Amino acid sequence: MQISKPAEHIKHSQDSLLPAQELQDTKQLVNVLLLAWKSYCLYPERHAASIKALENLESAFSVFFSTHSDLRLSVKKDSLLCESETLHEVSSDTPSEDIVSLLYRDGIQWLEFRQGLRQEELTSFFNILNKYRELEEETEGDIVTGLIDGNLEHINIKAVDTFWQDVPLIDFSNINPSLPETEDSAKHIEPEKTEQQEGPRRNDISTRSIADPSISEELWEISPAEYEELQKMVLEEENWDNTEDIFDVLLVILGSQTDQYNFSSVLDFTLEEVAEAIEQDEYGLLLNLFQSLHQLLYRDASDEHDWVRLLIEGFFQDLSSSKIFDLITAKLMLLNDSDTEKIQALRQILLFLSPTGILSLGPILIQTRSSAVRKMILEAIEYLCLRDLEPLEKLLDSPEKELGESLLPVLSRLKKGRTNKIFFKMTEHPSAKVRREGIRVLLVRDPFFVQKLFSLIDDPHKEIRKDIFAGIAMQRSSVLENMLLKYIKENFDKKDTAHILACYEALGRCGSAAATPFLRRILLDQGWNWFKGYGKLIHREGAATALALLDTRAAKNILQTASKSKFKVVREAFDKAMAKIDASGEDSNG
Amino acid sequence: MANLPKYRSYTLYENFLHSFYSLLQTTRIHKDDHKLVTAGISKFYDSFASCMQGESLTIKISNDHFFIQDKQLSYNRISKNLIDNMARYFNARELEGLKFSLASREASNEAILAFMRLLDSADQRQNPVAFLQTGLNLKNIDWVEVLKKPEKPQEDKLSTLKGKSERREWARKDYTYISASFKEVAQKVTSKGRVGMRKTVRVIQDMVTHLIEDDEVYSAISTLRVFDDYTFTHSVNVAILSMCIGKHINLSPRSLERLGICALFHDLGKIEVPDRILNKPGKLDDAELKLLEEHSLNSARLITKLRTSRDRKAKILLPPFEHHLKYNLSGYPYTNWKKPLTLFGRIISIADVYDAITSPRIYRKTIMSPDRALGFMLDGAGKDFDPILIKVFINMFGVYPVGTLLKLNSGELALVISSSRMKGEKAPLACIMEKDINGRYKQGATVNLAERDAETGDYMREIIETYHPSTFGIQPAEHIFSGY
Ligand SMILES: [Fe+2]
Ligand SMILES: [Fe+2]
Repeated sequence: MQISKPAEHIKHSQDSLLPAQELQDTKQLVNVLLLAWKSYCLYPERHAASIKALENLESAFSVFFSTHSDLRLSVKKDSLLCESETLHEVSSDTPSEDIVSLLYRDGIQWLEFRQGLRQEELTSFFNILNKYRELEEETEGDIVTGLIDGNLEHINIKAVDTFWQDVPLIDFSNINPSLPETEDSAKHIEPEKTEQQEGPRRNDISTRSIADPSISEELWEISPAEYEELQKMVLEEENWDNTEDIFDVLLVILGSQTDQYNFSSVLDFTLEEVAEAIEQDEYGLLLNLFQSLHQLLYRDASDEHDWVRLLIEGFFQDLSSSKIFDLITAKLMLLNDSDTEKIQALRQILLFLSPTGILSLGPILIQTRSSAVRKMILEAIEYLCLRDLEPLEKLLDSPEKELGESLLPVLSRLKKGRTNKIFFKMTEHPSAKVRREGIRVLLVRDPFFVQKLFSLIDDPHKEIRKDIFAGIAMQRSSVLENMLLKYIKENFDKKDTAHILACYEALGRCGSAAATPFLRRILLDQGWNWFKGYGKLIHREGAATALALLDTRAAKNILQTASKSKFKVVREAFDKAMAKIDASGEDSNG
Repeated sequence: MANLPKYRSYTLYENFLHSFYSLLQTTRIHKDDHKLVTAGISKFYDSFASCMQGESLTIKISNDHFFIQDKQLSYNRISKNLIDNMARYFNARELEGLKFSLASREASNEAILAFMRLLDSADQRQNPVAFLQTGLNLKNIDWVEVLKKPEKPQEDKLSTLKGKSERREWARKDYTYISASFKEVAQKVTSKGRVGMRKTVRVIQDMVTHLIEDDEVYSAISTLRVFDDYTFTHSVNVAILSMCIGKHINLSPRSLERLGICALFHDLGKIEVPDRILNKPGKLDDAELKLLEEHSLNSARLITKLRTSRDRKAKILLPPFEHHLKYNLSGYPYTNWKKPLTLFGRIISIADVYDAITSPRIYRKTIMSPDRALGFMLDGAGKDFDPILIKVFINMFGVYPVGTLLKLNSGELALVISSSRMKGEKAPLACIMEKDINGRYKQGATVNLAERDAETGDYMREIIETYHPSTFGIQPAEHIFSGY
């Protein structure tokens, strides 16, 4: 947007009503106004540039008002005037963006800023202009309705109706008040005869007139108490919080609908009201609404009205949209431990929503400072999970350690059924705590799961590796045996001696005779493949341990050989292994 | 869980302004010795005494701000209505303010009332301030000084809109535009998903501004009866009448707007009722009646489709639902609705019935004159109607509402063009209806029926019967409007 002409260049006309100084100041002020609107259009409302623009404008106004009185600007099709002075002309390049064009579009004739103008009024003014910058086809209002609604104390406008210019004004003389076909008879009735003769409409004389002397004036006289009562009524009306009544009437309307289309359109409106009720913290009312809608759901179980069920279910699905959840989330973040009532109400509301909401609820667990809110959310998630686990599963995809950990109380209480998937997911979680919990639950459920978890043998977390070894050690399994053999062969160069020993120990506990030849080679062979780790003391010790734990005749023979080996390193390995087994209290010789 | 309204009481100065304004209103309606007037005066005295400091007490308006003793009254939710009303009151009389001297404390009740009445009648004068000054001199009232508004050229300001013809033009435009916007909404609401309310809101907002200035011209225009376009005319009339009631109980402009909109759409549900039922000459059978009685609930349903601000929509949804429920909830729709009617619902019920029973309908053989309609409605106080609001309605119209056709003892027919709102005076202003050569009624001289014979004290013309103008084929709006 471009301001077409710098105000300085506009000539001060001879017959201007404005003193030169005032004109100069007005021009300056209008320039600031136009510039402020320009930045306001370019940046979001809360952007520093927009805020700065409004601050500048406000201070420009206070400077102006320190020497001048109220400012009235006339809005013409292409220009802005003060008295007869043109202060601004709409650029022909981008007329639609010009503030003057917008005001003119809605029929505004003049705009007045009055002394006492506050910054928040300017902000509202710009917000309203911005809201109606482009008018939708079926718009709820325009700049004029917005400004009247906004009730800005120091900004006045005068607007003319621009919509009905072509509608001819009503002409009363052409409108017949009564039945057309009897018009003639009406004309010919003599007033004196009407009591006897009947006109097109007989005068109803059976009812007493209010002017009848038999009706005492006192009957309609307003007493002082009634005046006060009236005043109270007005105050109540103007302060009436009608959300509850609106919900009630919506339920009555829904309850009486037999038409699917109408039902659905009322539900659409209800959804908007729900959003508003959340904004207003009216959770109790919401809960009532949801409960009543649920009752509607089961009121008519016949197939004929199956659409009621589908539409209401759709409503609850829509309720769980991210838009509504964002509102709820924002509210949850503001709650403290002391807001017991609200927390409880929200808990019940959440239970009505779709499990997809879990995705929005999860993050609050780590953001909220209130432990009561956290506890409530966990309960809600636990309940929602019963209907669908997928959202919770998705939540575990988040790389945030803390998030996963905060979900642990829910996760560990998940009942059997289709929940294994989620525990496997947990074993991949960035948080060790979460992985460990996943492993724990899975191995309790089925020790064979350890095969699927084998890769965790390399988990960076020592305790987890330990859990995996323990899991492997729980059963004889050729699958595990092969996995371990392969693993040991591929990891000869590992430096972590404890880990190496643990592998052999696990092999000893889950393996079979099939592992013996390999173990024999490791324990007894000399000199070859040194660089890969063969011949190292630690491997020999591990092999000796494994053989001892295998507890077969062949293994015992090998161990015997080792104990008598001419190589010191072999004997040493044997001794170490035996000492460790003795210390752990296991009897290798059965 | 609903937030309870938070009220605060008036401040000292607000209280003074309030007692002043209430007293003005009360004296307008009641005789001098009415207990309400006496109570009003003592309230006024008390609040006056508590504000009086120094030699005088000045109330002044400047740029629509109110000042008492040079202190600006803050304009907020509580004071807003009061300040708006008072500002309008002063503006209509071209007053800048009033300055009460210490001697005001000694003024008699009679003098205070004389002052109030003088002030009240000043708005009809060419030069209200000069009129006031002369009047005060004549009555020897020297404890109050009238401050004239400084001249300021403001061609557009509505407050200077004084000419009756101009107000009539406003009313005519508003009526036309409201009808047009209503028809547009009614057409779209059945076909479109959502219907914008921009135009309706604009015209109603305009009308609020005008109606606050002068509601009588609107009561006059609401006498329009259009036989073959009943639902539309009826809707506009009910909107106007409701807003007039609203003005009389001091609703804020914002509330008046909401009230106007929901009154306009109170019968929106009728667009779904087939014409053959709406215009059936005979009695409706059960199925037809059921369909007709669904209209109030359907009005509310259709209103949910209107695209307007949430606040506005929430305010306009309930009253149309309630408009046939009746004050004691004995009406329809027959649901288990147990809540008392909202204020707007109670107002619309009154305006609705009044317009309906004073409109010629094909299924009714008889029609009530407006004064009988009021008598009939008073019988329904406490059952069909809010007992206080019905009183407001009657007081607003006077006993011979505008649009009543009178038969005078002279044999003449006269149409009430302005009902008397003078205290204790029933007789209205009317215009004689004369027949032209085609047998059509034309408007003759305007007569004040309150005029009495100077010697006998009897009325010059007496009312011996009342009619609904349609019994004589007379379109009241046509004559009232040109006679207004
Ligand atoms: Fe109705
Ligand atoms: Fe109606």
